[in-house]
Amino acid sequence: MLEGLVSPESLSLSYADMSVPERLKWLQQHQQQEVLSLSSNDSPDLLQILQFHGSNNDELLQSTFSHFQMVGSGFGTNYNMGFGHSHEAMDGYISRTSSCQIHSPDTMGVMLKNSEENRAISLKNKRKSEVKTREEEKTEKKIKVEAETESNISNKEASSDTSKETSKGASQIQKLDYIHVRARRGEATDRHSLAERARREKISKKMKYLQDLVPGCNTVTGKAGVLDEIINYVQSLQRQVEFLSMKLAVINPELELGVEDLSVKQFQAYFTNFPVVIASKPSVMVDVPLFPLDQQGSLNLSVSNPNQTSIDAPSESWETQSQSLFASVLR
Amino acid sequence: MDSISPLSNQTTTTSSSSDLSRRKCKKKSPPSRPPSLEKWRSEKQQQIYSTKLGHALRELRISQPSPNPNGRAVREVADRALAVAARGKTLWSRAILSKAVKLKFRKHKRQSPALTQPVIATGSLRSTVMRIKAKGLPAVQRKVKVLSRLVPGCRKQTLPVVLEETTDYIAAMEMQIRAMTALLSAVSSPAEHEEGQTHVLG
Repeated sequence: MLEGLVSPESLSLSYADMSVPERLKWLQQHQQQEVLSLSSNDSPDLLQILQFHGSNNDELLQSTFSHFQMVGSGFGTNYNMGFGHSHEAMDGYISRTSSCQIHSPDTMGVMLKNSEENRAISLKNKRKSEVKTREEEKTEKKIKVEAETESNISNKEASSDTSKETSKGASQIQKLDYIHVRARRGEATDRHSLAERARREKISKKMKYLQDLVPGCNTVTGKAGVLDEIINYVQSLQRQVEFLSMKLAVINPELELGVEDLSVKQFQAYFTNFPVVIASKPSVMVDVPLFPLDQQGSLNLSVSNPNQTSIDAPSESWETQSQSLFASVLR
Repeated sequence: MDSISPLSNQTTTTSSSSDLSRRKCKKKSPPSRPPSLEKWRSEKQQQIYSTKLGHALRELRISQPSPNPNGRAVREVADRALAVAARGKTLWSRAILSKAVKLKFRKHKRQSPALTQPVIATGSLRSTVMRIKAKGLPAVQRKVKVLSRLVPGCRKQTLPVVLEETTDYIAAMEMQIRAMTALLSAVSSPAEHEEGQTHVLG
């Protein structure tokens, strides 16, 4: 069964046992249907894979099975039963495929196995022993080769042969401590390229966020264009801030305190569309400058009382604060 | 996340409904933002910033009574208020605040250079940006350097760090601009409010 395809990388799961249950839960939530379809479609592939694995790695697989059993014990008896199945089915290919039909309780396990299996498919085209040893080395490294299930499953289903299907690049199933990278078929599986690929994926993900943020970036393709747009946008934003601050500086002297606190209330109205209530006490505001405001006049920047605006403002302003650093900086 | 959508083609009948729902979910999810960016879009954050800015401006006006606070000082104040609103979790906010501290120390030691420093900073910023853009041979790299100089505190940072800081910085600046325009419009039309009518801003 698919369980037979647990490869040595899964040994590295022992490093992050806590992450595995989370990951498995996530997988379970999202992956059940894919497993079903996958299991129904892929028997020829499975057979090939099982042959590949069954001949070489029985002890290794069994050890990883036991590991999975430990890990999976939290997920209920069915999960372990699925594993038990696979243990017995280690020898028989067909029995493995049949145990693949175990549905929902086994989905997590199957999902994990799918991942290993897909990796196996990609590895199939390389020399087995070298790859195996290299992978074992990889387990010590932080960047692990682990399957990214959804794309793998989709790939498996889309292709009748495994041979022509490339599994997808890295996508992080879940942001764990480790960076999970998917080894592409035909690409080197040594540590450096994997690390590079993980790094590139991170960077491209961040660029995608930026593209969403900056308007007008969607039309441009390529990193250079997007970066150009981002630079222009940041510069324009900074210019806007300068312009607005100059405007504020101009009207600042006219900014009477009462009016200012009034306007704070106006902000609330502005934001929440409440009818304007001129309830602030202008007389109280006028008293503020009479107070001997020292350097320690209050800039309560770390005191966040977001919704207490005008009424609390005068009281805060004449407490001597420990934010003298900030206030004195202003001077 | 984008790779999930092709999956839906192979749904079996039993799983079709859940797949459809997931397909909808997944198709919605790609334009997702990191949660840290959402905070800059919230009204609450804007109010926090507005109040802080209001306090800071008042302080500035009180501390600099005779010269009208020039635009640069106001801008510094606004940036500092923004950095505080960021709660120091980002590089750029910490850089802005530490810049202010350094300025303060230098001001205590020597009075005159402090005034010229902001001038130099902005001037050199523009010149370095132009200079870097001129030798654009390794294009992407140069642009990243330019960007890292634009965002405060990211001059010697690696690319993923720069990108992250840029996203947060852009979101924060957008909020800053919104808050400042609101403040300006509120202040610049006080007459209607003193009558205290049903007029609602914006």
